[in-house]
Amino acid sequence: MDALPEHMNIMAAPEPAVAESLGGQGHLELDQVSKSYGHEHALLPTSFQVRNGEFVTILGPSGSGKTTILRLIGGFTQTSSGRILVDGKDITRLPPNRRPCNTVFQDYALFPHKSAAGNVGYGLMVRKVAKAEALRRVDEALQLVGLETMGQKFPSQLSGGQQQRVALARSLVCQPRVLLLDEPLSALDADMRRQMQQFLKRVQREIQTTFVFVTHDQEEAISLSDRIVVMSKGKVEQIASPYEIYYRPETHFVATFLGDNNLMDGTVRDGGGVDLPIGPVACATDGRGKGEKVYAAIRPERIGLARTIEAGKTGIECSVAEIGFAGAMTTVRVRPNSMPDLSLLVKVTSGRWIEDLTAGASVFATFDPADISVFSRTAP
Amino acid sequence: MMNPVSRISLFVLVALVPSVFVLLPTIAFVANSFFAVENGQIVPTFTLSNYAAFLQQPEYWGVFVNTLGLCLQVSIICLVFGLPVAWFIWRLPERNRYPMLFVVILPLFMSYVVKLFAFRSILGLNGFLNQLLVASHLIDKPQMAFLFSRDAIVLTQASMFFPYMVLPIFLNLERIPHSLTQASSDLGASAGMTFREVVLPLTMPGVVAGLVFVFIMSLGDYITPQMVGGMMGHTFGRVVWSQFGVTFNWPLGASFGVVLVLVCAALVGAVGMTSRQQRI
Repeated sequence: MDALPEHMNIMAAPEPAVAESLGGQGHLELDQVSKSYGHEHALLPTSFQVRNGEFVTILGPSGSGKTTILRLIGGFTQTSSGRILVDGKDITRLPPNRRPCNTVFQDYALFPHKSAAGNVGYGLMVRKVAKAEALRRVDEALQLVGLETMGQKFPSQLSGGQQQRVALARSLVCQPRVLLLDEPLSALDADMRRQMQQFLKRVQREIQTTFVFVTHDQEEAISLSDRIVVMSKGKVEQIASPYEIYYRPETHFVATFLGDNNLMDGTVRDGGGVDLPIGPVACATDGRGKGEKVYAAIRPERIGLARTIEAGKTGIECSVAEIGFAGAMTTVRVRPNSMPDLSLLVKVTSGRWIEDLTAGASVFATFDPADISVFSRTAP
Repeated sequence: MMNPVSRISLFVLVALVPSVFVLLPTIAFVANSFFAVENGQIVPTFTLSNYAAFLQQPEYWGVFVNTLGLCLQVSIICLVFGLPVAWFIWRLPERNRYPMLFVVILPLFMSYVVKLFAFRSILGLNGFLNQLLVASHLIDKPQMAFLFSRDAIVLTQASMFFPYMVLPIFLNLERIPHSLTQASSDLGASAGMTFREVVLPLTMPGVVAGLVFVFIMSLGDYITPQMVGGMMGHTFGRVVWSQFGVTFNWPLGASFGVVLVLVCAALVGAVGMTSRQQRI
């Protein structure tokens, strides 16, 4: 179904005039919102705000409560406690049809007996929008998602990516203050998924609607979001920009959930810095007291490898344990000579001398102490 | 791998039972409808006189048309009550849903005859309904009108075939993903609008299947009209039955049977055509 010309179509930026009439920048606030089923806590009391026009991703493994949050905002599940506000207005007790939010469902939830245009126009029909205006807005929405020629097709005649875009148009045509997206890309194949990610980001930039996006895919979260809410076991682990989430994790879960990481046990030194198994390191400790047990994390790509080391620079003498070539990058597992039980993962740009490395070779691992992030070993 | 001989013999073996017990009787039955009766004997000649009799004599086609009306009435009553009941069961919490469905289809496990006698005792002269109405002073003395009337047949059949309406509609409702009703609500539709715009259109195949089930069963039923319909219960099913059991004019009865089969087949075919045009 998805031939090349259509892919090009996805990339076409929507007309600015079209974009203006769709969606709005709502401000979303969760105030101590929780959900429990009997004694099961699906969501512990959670508070956060989403700014106007922001793209926030809720990231977590299955069972972390991320979909619960979305269903609570959408009104499909009732809160056990707390308040949900959109633009300062309490919507906690409103039914879904009276909330200023719209949801793009994981399975798209397109009405099989209605055409693409019929699906997109559904929200306008139930609101009794005048026919001429409804037609115009449906056309605009279909144009926005690059399906202006597919209006008469039925969902069963559309590909997964096209159905996805119809679902998006159907929600946007209602001009939601906040758009909720429940793992909308999980059913697509990798190629289509990447295209849809770019497309979503572009649409969001154009129409400036507040997006709350749920996913379990870390890369997706990092590449799409303004901010990420990382969830685990019904509670928020960290809320921060993708960069901070990746390089400045604040909990063990965040440090290990997103990509590879090197984690070491450490103890805060008197007067700053941390004692690590590889020796004392002068990294920031954010005012933590002496003797506090901490984790120190450093990303594999923030560690460098060198055969020799210049005088005056510090490096840890290591021996190579494992080499994994992965195209542009090569992952090398090294063991410090002083601490053979410790193993460090290093990702370096592939190169001639890396190619020549063999297991057992002696190398120096170098890093900037500023790249080490330190966080408490006890859960906050 | 099987050799061709054993494959063919296996096929013959498998095909034998249906051929002998279904195909051959049907052929014999259709053939009979073209035979004549002379001096109480079936004469195997080719004649269309049986079909001509059906078309020419109002006591045959008149009854047939009346019976179609009766069946339609029964089907519509079943639909009017069956759709809300199926919808109600569907909306129940998951753990109550199947027990409740079981309660509704429980009468299917009871003997047909037992149910008929139950209706006779409810509708009869000293029956429950009469006693209730007399006790509540709505009528002075028990009435005969409930039993042995066309209404009694409609009521009894509607009640007996009710599960056949609920079941297909419920199973159809079960196939509607909850996300569709949620999406409808999410897009601003009230519960009533969601029902009209999403649930009902997607339930049409179940509704049509239920209507066909009930209609065909009502059309073929000749015992209920006899048991609760009395003189008023002269339906086409009984006309067919009497050709075989009373007047011993088997060819005429067979031709009536063929008419019934053709009507049912046409009905099923028409439904199949329309459901194929839907995108569900």
